[in-house]
Amino acid sequence: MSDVVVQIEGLHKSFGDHHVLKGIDLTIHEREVVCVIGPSGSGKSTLLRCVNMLEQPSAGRVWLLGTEVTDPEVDLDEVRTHVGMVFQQFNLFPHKTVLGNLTLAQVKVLGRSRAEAEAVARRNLEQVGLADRADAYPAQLSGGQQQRVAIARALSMDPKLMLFDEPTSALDPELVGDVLAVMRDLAKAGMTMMVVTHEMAFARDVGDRVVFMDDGVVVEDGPAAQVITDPQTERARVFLHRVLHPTEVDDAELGQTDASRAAAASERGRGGHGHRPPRAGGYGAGGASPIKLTDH
Amino acid sequence: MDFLIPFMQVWVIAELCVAAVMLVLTALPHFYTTAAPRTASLTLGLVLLAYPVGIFIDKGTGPKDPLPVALGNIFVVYLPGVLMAGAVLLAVVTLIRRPKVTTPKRGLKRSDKRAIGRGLQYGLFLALLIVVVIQMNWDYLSQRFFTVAALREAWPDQMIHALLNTLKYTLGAFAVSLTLGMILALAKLSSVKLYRYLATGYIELFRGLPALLIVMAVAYGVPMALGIRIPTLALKAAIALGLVSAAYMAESLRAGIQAVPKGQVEAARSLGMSYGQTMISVVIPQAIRIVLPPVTNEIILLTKDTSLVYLAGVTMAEWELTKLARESVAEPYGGLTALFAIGACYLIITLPLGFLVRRMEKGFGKARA
Repeated sequence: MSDVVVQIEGLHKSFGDHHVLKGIDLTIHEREVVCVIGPSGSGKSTLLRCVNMLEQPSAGRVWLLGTEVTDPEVDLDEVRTHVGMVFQQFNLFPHKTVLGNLTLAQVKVLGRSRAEAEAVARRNLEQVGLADRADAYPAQLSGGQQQRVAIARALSMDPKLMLFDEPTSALDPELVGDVLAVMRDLAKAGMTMMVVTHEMAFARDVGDRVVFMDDGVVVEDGPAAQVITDPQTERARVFLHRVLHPTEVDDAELGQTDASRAAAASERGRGGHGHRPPRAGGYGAGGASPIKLTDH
Repeated sequence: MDFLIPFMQVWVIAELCVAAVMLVLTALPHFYTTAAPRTASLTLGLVLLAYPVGIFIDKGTGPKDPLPVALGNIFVVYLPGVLMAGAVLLAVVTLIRRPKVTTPKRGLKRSDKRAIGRGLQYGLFLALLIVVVIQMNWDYLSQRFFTVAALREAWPDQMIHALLNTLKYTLGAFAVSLTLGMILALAKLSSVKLYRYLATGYIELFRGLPALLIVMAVAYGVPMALGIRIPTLALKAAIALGLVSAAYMAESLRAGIQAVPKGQVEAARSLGMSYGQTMISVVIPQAIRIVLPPVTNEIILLTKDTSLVYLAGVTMAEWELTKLARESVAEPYGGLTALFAIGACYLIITLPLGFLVRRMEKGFGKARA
């Protein structure tokens, strides 16, 4: 139990009468990189947001680093200082410089001195390759740079776990690679990571485990290479085929995903955290990705 | 027309002729080859046409008070002279610089019609202005509104004093409005139902009542009801006007806070920041930029609402601008001159404010996502 970072038991989440998560059990150990994949509206992002309680679960229990965060008496702010989160839309603070973004919570929450916080911030900016942009405002950076700043901001709190919510989905295709490279380095350095992603190549090459979700349940959970290249369930096989080979979708299959799309749309309507529809041309196949997916 | 009588008839005929020529040239498809001279030609034609019209309109209300002679000479004689010279110059230069071979075209092109449309808008606006200026009762106006002697008593001591009083009441009321408005806005966004109800009730009440009533209530009602004495007029003004303004302020601030994307709160909370820290360091700084324009509006409205302070009973030392104007209007001669001067004083306060806010908004541009 000592090396368990995340433990989820019987997690349910509903938005009104829309049942998004239908009983999730998941355990993540220290230094493990777990990628969560699945169709839009399958509940991946909601699951991730339930881990650090940005969404209040309807039922079930979640432990983070040995603390039960679903306990109403827990000091959530304290637990969250150990958990970094990276959002699809970056969510940098636009009124602060890059350095200001990285030092704000260090000073306010961890009580570090300004000098100490700046030293930590500059070290992390160096790590994401943006040491020279410390004084820029977020609006002056490209999407890829903003997302790397967001990662550095989370790392500046010295987290024990990093959560990534589709970190590359809002990026121009040629900028995806920079962000994935930073995440790969982070994984190599031994960070415990939970990554919701559509980048199948990243999931396969960097992930230790891949969790395939559909319609609010975990359909498949196994070693990364096995789930991506040799899925054991039919639903995972269909999903992966469509994602990895979008040009091979058969005319007979047209409209098969409409049901899940409707579910995704209604989740968007309620949840308020907008998924961007996946880019045409597909995930994983991005040519600029540093991790190429070989043919199989 | 009192001025230059024999000369005037020649002038009117000349104006009519030049105007007719310019209008005809505008309508010719071949004469002008670009848009700008065509627009200018039409505008000049309409403006020159306005002079004869303005001079010969008879409202049938007896003798008009003409423009003062000096002003009349400039406006009715020299200005149209310059305009006619300009029109002739435009026509001549166009004629000389016309390309030798013109491609034949039938009728007016699209760009010609656009030029004419623009010329019509400029020309009609200016023509109307000219007719109105010529027709106005200038003697009456100058007596009632521009008798500098009438200001002697008020200028400069009383006026500056009143200006400072107006500023003092405005700033006091703004301080109350901003503080109370922020509390109300946060109450309205609170998760505690009681706070939401109280804030909504307050806003609906004070938004719906005339400021005049609130000023009287604060000045006379509250002291009697509670047995307290509000010591100074400035404090009464700040409380009364601040209470009313806070209702509007609260709605502006709430809208500003809600306009900050939800992701900002999530990002701050996921870094371990508390609700209070998130509001102070992340949400409110961004909301301030959003609410700057509506809050400026509120300050300007407050500036003008200080004219209600006289209802609380003012000594002469406490007069603000409008009270001074009312007293000055009662002076035996000079009529409404004081109103005019006081109006200018209000603009002295509000115009720089608008300018300052536009500058601040530009400054924020850099940090806008």
